[in-house]
Amino acid sequence: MNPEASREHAEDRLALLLGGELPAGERDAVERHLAGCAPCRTARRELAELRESLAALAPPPVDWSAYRADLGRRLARGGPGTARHWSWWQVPLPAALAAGLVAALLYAGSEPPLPRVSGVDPAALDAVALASRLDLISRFDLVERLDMLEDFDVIDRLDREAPNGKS
Amino acid sequence: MDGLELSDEQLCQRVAARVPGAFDALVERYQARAYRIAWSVLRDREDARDCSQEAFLKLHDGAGSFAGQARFSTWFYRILVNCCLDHKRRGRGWLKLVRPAHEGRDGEGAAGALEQLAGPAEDPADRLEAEGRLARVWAAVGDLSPQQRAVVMLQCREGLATGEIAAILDLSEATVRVHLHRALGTLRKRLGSAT
Repeated sequence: MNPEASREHAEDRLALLLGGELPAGERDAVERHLAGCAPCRTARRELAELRESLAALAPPPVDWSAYRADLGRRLARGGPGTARHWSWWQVPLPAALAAGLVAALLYAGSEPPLPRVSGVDPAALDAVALASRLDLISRFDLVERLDMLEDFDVIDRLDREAPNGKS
Repeated sequence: MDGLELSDEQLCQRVAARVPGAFDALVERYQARAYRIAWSVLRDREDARDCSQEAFLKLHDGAGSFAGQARFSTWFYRILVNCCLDHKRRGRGWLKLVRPAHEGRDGEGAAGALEQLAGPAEDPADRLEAEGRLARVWAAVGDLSPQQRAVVMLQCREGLATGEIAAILDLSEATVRVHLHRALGTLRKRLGSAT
């Protein structure tokens, strides 16, 4: 058996071995492997130490009577989802920040206002502003060719070439 | 009512029936574990207090939906861990910005993790070394994803079996084993033999 592969195989089961969750057959097989594999024994020792350290992590102490009293108040206020521990000034702050951000984004995304010119139709100004952004303008040669279709001579010739025009 | 003589499941049924004292008895029985698990996942004492209380409130409101097919502890831990993971997803980073530093932030300094470490009679040098070791472990745990952290702490800290962890997190047992293997591998790599 490839020693590297067998080591990976055993490492995969070490957490379960240390947690006492390996079935007897598998446990025996892993123990046999460990007896002949120094790296896996090191891994087991390190994992065991790590588990001890994790088990030693303890949260900060709590005043349980105050905890239950607070829970009772929350229950009386209406159950899950009720606001807690937030001072009056803590709630408006993120709301104000969010509103400011939205306003800034709206302002940044808005069009610059068109200059007001007395006596000029605002709709015409809109059209000019719109046209200034049309990519089609940059392909003026194509627009010219399309315009030719509206030339009366061409239309007239098309009419003559239509089946009804042949008499 | 003497809640100590009743099983968790019986107490839960009484909570659903709004029997006086049943809810208080369940809270007293589970408050320390609920707070500890929430703290393991959230790494902040105020958030842990908040989320564990939230889980109790959901237990109070939803006790009638406990069908008794799983153990009460599995059902309740599922509520609890979901509260914690939802809390993480919602993100309350801004609260940490406005909350004064002394008000329960223990994510990086490991102060909370060390508070109960040793009694005053211990050798100061040993205590210092142990504190340093736990601070490194606590910092490394902080680099895990919330779900990996939950798996590791539920297995190594709370001693739950992978099957129960799978039920709590609504994952397959295989996925829990993968999370556990990867998380412990990451911690080992970070900590080496320093633990």
